[in-house]
Amino acid sequence: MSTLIDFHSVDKSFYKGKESVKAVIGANLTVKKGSVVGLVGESGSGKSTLGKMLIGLEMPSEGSIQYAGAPLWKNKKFIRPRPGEIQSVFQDPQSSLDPRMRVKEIILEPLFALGTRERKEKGSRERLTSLMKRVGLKAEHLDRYPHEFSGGQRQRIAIARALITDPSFIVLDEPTSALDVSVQAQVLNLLKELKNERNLTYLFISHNMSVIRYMCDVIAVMYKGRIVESGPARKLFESPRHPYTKILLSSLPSIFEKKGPALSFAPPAEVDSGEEACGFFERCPFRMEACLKAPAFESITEEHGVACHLEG
Amino acid sequence: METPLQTETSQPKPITSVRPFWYKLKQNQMTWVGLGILGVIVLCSLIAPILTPYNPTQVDISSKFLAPSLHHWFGTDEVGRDILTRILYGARISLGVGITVIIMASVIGILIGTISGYFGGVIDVTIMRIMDMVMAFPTLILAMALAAALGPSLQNAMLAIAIVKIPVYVRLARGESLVLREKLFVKSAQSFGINPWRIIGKHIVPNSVSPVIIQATLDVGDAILMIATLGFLGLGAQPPTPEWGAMISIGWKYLLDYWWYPTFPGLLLFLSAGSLNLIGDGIRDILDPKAGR
Amino acid sequence: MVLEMKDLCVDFTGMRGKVRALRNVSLSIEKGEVLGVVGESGSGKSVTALSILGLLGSNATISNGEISYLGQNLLRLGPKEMQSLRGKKIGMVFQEPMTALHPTMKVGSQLAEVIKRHRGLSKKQAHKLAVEALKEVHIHDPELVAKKYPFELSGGMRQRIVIALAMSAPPDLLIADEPTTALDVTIQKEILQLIKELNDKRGTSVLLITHDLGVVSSVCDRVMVMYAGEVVEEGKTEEVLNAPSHPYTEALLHALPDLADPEEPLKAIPGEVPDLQNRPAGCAFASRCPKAMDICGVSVPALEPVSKNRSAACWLRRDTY
Repeated sequence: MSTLIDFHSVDKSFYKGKESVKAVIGANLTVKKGSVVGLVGESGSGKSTLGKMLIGLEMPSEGSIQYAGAPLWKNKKFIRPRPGEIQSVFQDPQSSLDPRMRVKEIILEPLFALGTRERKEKGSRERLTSLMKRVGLKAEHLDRYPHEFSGGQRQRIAIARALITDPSFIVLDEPTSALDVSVQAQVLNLLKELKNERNLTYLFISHNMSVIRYMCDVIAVMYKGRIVESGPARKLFESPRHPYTKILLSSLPSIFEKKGPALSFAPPAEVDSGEEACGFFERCPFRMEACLKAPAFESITEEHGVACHLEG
Repeated sequence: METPLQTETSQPKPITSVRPFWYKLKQNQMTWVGLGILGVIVLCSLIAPILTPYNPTQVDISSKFLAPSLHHWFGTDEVGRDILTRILYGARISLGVGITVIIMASVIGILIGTISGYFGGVIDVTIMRIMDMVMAFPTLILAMALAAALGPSLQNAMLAIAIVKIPVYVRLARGESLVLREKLFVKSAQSFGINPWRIIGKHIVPNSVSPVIIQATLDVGDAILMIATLGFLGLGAQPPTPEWGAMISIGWKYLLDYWWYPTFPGLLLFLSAGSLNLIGDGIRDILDPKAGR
Repeated sequence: MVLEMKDLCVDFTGMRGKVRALRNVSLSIEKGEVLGVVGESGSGKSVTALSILGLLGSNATISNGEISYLGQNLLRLGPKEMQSLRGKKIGMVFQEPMTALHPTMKVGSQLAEVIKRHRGLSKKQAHKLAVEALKEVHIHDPELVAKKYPFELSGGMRQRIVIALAMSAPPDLLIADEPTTALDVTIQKEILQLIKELNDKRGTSVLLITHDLGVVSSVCDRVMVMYAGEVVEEGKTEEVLNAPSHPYTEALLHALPDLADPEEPLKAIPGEVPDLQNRPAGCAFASRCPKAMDICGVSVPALEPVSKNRSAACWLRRDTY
């Protein structure tokens, strides 16, 4: 599989007056064509920010992002590979769909970034109808407004909107977090099918480990802006290496089986860790003196990597 | 071969049979009082030629200053014109002018405001400074100054009032678009790579009209009063146009001897401005769930 | 028996007329028991909690049933009496901790104030107990945290403080409505452990409302599954989750991604929760149920025992017990 996206030591700082907050620190991540890469982490870990850089909503402060070999950001400008090539589906379909637009207008909207001829072609009635059917809606729903639909149906509308331009890559930012369990399964299955049918590549952002495991081939775990571990989904779940990943996995409320001894956060560190320290120092149950200097991200195997001194 | 996954869904929710707008309107009695009063005034002014045998500008010196009677319900003025007739015809001017002025001000205001709010930066600062300058003056004084500078006529008075009303709408629309530009549906549109003007036209403007409509309904009454004030001061409609303000302006000199002359136009002014305010309050309660109870 | 609810029916009057949000909901909580109420949006699980607390809005009416708390009929109490019951005899924890905290008051003072009111202590004594209470909910350095304002604390910390507030009286029953939904998984686990610990140590009964079967399995002794305003299944947590009696519970379990077998396609439940306004005749789940029979579309099955410790509202289970 060839590399589609490559994050190379990407930083993102937000400024609040004079203070700056680092949302993403030194992120390295590759997304292979045709794969589903999961980004998992708690709220504020920087996972959404990373996703927004790919659709032009956040600019990286440092580092480079390549898409199919070409940089996505150049001189503080977002360079679209081809309009509609990269699409996105957000968490809350309630706010990602304009309440004053009809479903038809909503789905056709991304086409307005395209040339007139291509827009007419891709927005034809037949394509629209078959797309609606494909995502599980009906053609007669096209003239309705978003508030007439349930949460799951709204998310289907958002998915149809993302597909109208025939993208090759979609950023899915918590696409099922606002949905009920029974509907979540419908949407996840739909996304899986669409991926296979259209040979799509996904970046799947979620805080839900079991959803990530179901959807993704590769998983990257983020903590406070850093990718602390990444690797093939099965590897990461079977033999997690970073203490945070371990805690995350043992926190999962599991219905079917009770796991071994649970691992928890350590009480906050008494010593002041300082700027240089590992981001997880404060809560790490295995912290040691060496951790006062942040560990580099290192490969354990070709695909599996971790940023922790314990693995040195 | 993979087994097909279950992904089907059901019908959307059935469309609610009662529209929320009408439901809320039904519950709001004061709005109905306002609508009733205004409706009667508008209807009567529209069918004025049927209701009254008199001409609003026809002078008849022989019947000047007649007290209210069966022939002249609201009496006659200093040149014998029927005051009721003049009020009814005048309603067309006062209400028409009030509505036109506010439509002008709100349309211009919403355009400037959304642009200012959406783009931000230098554009926003420049626009808002200009608006602050206009707003620094009391509206009526500024309108008077503008109308006087432009020359006394109804058109100029309208223009003056529209100009002084614009900043209110600019600020409203700007505030809305500052909120809207952070909304996910606007962010998505940006991520698609859509032209900012299209985003303003398709997302920002349609979603910021509600508060503007509320403000506009409340402002029509105010605009009618301002037109009347300018008319009263001789800066608006010129005689013999049966404009309410101009009528009161001439009539108040005769208040002691012929009380009916300024009283009835004044009463109508009060009734229309009041009913418009009731309607505005009602629309605010309906469109803006945050305000009110 | 700490709490007993019998055949409760709650109607909401809205723009489109009357909607029955709860239909003959019965539940009981024993002393020291943790009862989980699980369901999707619109299932009536939160309405159940609000009706116990007497916090239903003015557009809701309780048209049938009774709620008795420690032998006292709650539906007979006036608003004043209900208010003194809430917080003192029944503790509350909601999804968003900020709604329960005073934004401009230090958390220690808030806690001390409540303790002072409940126990009639001096300010100094109350403050001491407040620090104790913070320690009890596993806040490190309680002295320092007591001096902070809610906005200075993380979501998990705030929820701990809300729990400390709720437990300060101390109550006989704690009602927790989605207490961990707004929190990260790692924090969620800690909060659930804390609730379980307080339940063990103090014998406080807990009514835990959640949409997450995982949460239920980790803390609840018994679970009650709700669907479209009705209880469809009720029983011991382990039994219900391992061998569900109602097709809805079963379907819900299959719709969750299973970490033990992640490659297995999810079995989604077709369709959506019915609109309560146009509730179908018969069983509300019938249209989505893979095992539906003719009778299911006609007549509503009652919640009846299907085995020892277990009830279900399903025609399939009618003859099995």
